[in-house]
Amino acid sequence: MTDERITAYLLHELTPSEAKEFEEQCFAQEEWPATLESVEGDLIDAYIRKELSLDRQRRFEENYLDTTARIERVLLARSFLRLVAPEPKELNPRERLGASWTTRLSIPRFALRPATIGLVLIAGALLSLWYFIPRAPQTFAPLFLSISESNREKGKDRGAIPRVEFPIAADALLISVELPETSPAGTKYRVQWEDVKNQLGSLEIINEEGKVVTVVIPAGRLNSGQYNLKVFRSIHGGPEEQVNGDYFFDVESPSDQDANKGNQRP
Amino acid sequence: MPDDRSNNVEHPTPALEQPLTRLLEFLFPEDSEEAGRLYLILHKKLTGFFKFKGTFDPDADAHETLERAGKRIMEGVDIPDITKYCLGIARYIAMEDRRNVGRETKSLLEFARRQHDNDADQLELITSLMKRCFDELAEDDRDLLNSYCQVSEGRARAEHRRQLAERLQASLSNLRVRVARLRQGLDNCVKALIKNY
Repeated sequence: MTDERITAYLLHELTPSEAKEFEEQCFAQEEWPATLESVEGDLIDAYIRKELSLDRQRRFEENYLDTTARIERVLLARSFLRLVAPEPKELNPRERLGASWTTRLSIPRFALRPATIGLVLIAGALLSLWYFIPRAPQTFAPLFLSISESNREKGKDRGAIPRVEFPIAADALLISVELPETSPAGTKYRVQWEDVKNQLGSLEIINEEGKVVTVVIPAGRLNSGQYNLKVFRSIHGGPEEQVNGDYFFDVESPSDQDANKGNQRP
Repeated sequence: MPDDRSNNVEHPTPALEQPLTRLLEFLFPEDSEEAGRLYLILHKKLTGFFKFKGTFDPDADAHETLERAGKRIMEGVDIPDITKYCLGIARYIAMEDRRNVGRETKSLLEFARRQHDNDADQLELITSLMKRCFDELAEDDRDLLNSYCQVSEGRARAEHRRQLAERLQASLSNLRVRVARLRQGLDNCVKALIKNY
C-alpha cells in the first residue's frame, strides 16, 4: 500500500474494482492502517501549498472535497499551517510574477508577455476540455425496487409501479434492487436496463449487501417513460441465469402525471 | 486537551442491544471476552474506514454498521465472512451519509460561517482557536510539529523528514503517524472549543 495508491484512492483515480480491492486490503489488516491518515494529511497540505498538478488539484476539489468533514479538515490544516509554517510575506502580483518566473526559470523579462499569453491560451484550452469531460455524480435520488410479481403487461397497472419525477432533482438515481433471496457466496450479479423499446445495456453495480444490489443511473440518461431492470447472476463463474421477475419503474414529468390522473377518471 | 470523540458513542438502549448481542455471539460463541475483543477490532476498523471516507460521525456510523450486521444475523442471513459483510454495509452507509445533510449544522464550518461572513475572518478565527490548542501541547510535541513543517519543498522536505526521524531514532513512517496523530488531537481540540464558544 504505497502513498501514491492511497492518494489515487482519495482522488478517485482508481477504477471501481481497484477501489474496492483497496478497501478490502485495508480491512484485511490487523488494524486499520495508520499510514492512511498521514498520507491524507500530506495530500491536504500539498493542496493548500498549491503543490498539486492542475489535474490533481481539480480532482481534489471535485472528488475529495465532497463531504463537510473533509472540507473541515482542509480548513483546520490551513489554520495549522498558518501557525507553524507561515507563508513568506506576500508580494504583489507583479513582483511575484517577476520573482518566481524570471529568477527560477531564468526567463528574460522581455519574453514574459508572450509567455503569459501562451499560458493563458493553454489554460483556456484546458478549461474548455474540463468543461466537456463527464464528471461523476455528486447527488443521488434514492429509489427502492422490489420484484414486480407480474409480467410487463400486468406491470402496466400504474399504481403498483414506483414513480420518479422528471426531471430528476439530483445528478443520478441510486437504485436499490431487492432480490427474492440471498445468493450463495461467490455469486456475481449483472443488472441490465431497458425501456419500452430497447435494451439499454448493463449498469454498474456499486454495492451488494445481503439481498440488495445497488446500481446508479445518471440523470442525463433518463427521459419520461417506463423502465425495467433485469438482474442476472452467475454462481462461482457458472452460466449466467436471470433472477426471476422484473423491476419496473416510471419516470414521469408533472404533465405526464396529470395526464395519467385524467386517464384514471371514470 | 479536550477530546470530543469519547463523548460521541451513543450507548444503545436495551431494545437496540439485541442485534449487538447476537453479533457478539456470532463473533465468538464460546468466549464472550474474545467476542468483545473481536467486536472492538471491527469497530475500530469501521471507524477508520468512515473517517477515511469523510463521513460526519465515523464512530456513530461504525456503531450503525455493526447493529445492521447484528440484525441480519437475527434474520438468519448466511454470513461467511463477517468482516467483508460489514465492509459491504459500511460502503452503503457511507453513501447514505453523503445524502444526509441534517447533522452538518453542528459542523465547524457552520460555526465559522455563523461568526463571520468572509473566508479570511473565518480562517483567522479557527487559527486563533488552533493556537490555543497548540499552546496546550507539551513542549516536545510543539517542537516536533514546528520542525516537521518547516521545510515544505519536494525533495528537501523528504530529506528533512528523514533526518528528523533519524534524530528521534524513529522510522520515517512512525514519525509521520506521530505527527498525524498530534494534528488529529489539535483538530479535535478545536472542535471541542467551538462547543463552548
